[in-house]
Amino acid sequence: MATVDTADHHDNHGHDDHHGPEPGIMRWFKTTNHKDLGTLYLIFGLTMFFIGGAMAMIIRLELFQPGIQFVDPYFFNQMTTMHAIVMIFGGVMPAFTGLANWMIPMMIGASDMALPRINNWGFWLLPAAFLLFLSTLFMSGGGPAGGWTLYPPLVLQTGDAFPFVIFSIHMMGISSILGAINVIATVINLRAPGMTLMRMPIFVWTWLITAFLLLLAMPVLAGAVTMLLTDRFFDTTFFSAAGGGDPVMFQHIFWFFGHPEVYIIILPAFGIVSQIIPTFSRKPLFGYASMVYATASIAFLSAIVWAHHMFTVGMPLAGELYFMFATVMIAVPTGVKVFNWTATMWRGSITFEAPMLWSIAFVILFTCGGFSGLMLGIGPADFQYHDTYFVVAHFHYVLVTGAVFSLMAAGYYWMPKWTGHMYNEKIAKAHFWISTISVNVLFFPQHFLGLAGMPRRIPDYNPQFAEFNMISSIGGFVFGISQLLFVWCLIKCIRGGDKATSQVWEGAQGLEWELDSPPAYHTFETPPSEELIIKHAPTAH
Amino acid sequence: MSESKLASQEHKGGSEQAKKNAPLVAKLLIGVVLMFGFGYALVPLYDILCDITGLGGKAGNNTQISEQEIDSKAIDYSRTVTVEFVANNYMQGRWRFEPGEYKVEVHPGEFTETHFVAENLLKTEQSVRPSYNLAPAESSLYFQKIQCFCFTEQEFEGNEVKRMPVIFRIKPDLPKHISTITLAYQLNHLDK
Repeated sequence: MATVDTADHHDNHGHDDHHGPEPGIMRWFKTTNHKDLGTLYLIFGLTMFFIGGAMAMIIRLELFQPGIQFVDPYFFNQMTTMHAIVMIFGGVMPAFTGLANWMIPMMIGASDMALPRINNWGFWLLPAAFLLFLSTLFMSGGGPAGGWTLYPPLVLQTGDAFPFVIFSIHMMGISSILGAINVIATVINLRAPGMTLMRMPIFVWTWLITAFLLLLAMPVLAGAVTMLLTDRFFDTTFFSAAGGGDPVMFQHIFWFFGHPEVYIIILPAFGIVSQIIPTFSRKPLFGYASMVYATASIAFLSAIVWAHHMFTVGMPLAGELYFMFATVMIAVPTGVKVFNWTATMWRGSITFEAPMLWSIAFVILFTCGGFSGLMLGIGPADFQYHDTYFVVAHFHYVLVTGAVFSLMAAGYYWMPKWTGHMYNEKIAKAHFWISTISVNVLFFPQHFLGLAGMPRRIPDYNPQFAEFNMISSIGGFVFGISQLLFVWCLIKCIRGGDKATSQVWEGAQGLEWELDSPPAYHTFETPPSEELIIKHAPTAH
Repeated sequence: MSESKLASQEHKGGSEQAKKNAPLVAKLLIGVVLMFGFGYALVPLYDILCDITGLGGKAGNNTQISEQEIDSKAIDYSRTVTVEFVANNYMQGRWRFEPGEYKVEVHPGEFTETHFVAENLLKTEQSVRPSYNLAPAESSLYFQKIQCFCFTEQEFEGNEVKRMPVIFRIKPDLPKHISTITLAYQLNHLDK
């Protein structure tokens, strides 16, 4: 875990700026250091990625052949529900917050996050939340099994686990909100003098916008699940038709949170690949300003398109049309981004180190996921695709080959900076190629399954779907196991390896590359000079 | 650690920074509270939106009819609109629920009475709250229910059969392209 080794500093107990981390295990509980907390967030995210991954393996194992083979259907439903919540709230979101913690202060020339103790609290809520959440598996009635979207009335039939699930979701939400407030306060208040908004690295921009989306969306989710709680235990009837409520209302409120949420999961990924592609193309990012505006437009549009998740609930034509057009409009700013990445690579002196490979795969495969999203966004067509494996294929293309691939890219890109050692490029490339091939074997056939009518969230299926499911499962097992290569790379890198220079990558721009690898426990105690900031500004060259 | 952190913050002018952070964080927290409230506000907001626009087919509960509207001259005998009735029952075995007639032909402006029949198939008391929906949704702005069993909770003795009336009227300004309206009811079980 000791990714930041500044042992030679920690004897200095003068309550001054240059003390190192506290010795012993308590360092990790009491730390308010952005690098320590970044590390904790990233390790937590990785751990949850494997727990959620294990659940996915159970799902693919059961779907390997038609019929009920390994688990009972109710447990299968718990797996699909918990896999989603663990991956979204436990895997991807904390990993992005970890990157924000590690990188944003170093990128904007700040010495730490603006609210260091809130930062500590925000992180330590997460292990508590997920311990509680995972423990529901062992409660009477089992864990939540009604799908991660928690639709009533089905979700109200959850057993003893129900209030614990709601409470753990509240804790996850509070953690995200605290993280978001911290990012906003840091970016607004702690930028080094001379670091104007349009000189900020694009990753900082995307995270700033994501943080505002989090503040917009997470409280609404908290409200929605609180209504579920009071419906179940306190005789309110928000979602019960018998009491004058409406179950479809939950879907509206949930997706008012849920759609911004999908952009919360992808905007930081856009930021990451926008950092990496220029580095390995040895060219500045094409259209920096348009990237900023496109990100902001996507964020705005994401808040007004929620009902495209519920085209089939019986909306009137006017509603269908509005949500269809607004949804498809998101393709415009997203297209701006994809073309900007392509234009950044155009005639660049490209080298294909692991982070670049993951980023290029991100651009191609995320765009695939975007296209299937467009298909789903077309109202009349959605009636065929709704709740089929086509939807599963779509959101795994944007979440796995999108968000997760960007995280892998970020992991390899900044690992030398964090640990001070180069990772093993051969293993990293093996990890990339095995993952990229297997992830397509895993998810591409699911498009065909969905178009042929296989519904999602079922443990058994018509034998006509057998071949594609078997292929998909084989891809799944290979993809799952190959992720261990990342852990191996990471452990090797922490333990030792070739010393990394402070620049690490030849074409890398940004203040973080001015710092040692690994950086000192406290960095930018004195802000970087404006000259240095201009030298590294994404628009300045 | 936290004390020394505080010390280090103060050392580099941290109190000045804290002064800048506090108002920003306060604003952001107010935003969070407002958004939490907004989640709850969506409940009445959706209802209001549906009432105004007729989206969702839930309007049409308008019992307030002016004298001018009741004026028989307001009946448009030149048009005939088909009104279909649907009874949805998701509690087979507990209830029998069906419309008294499956469709009627009405002229816009006239009052029409129809009825639904519900039977409690259990020997014990049960109560339900009916909910309703109109299709196409647009028609709900022109559909007036003067009397309806859906206005109140319905209590049934064991094995009781009820003939439950609905009196309705379609406003004469119903758009020309609507020639058929479907009125659907569903019984929702009430736990007592």
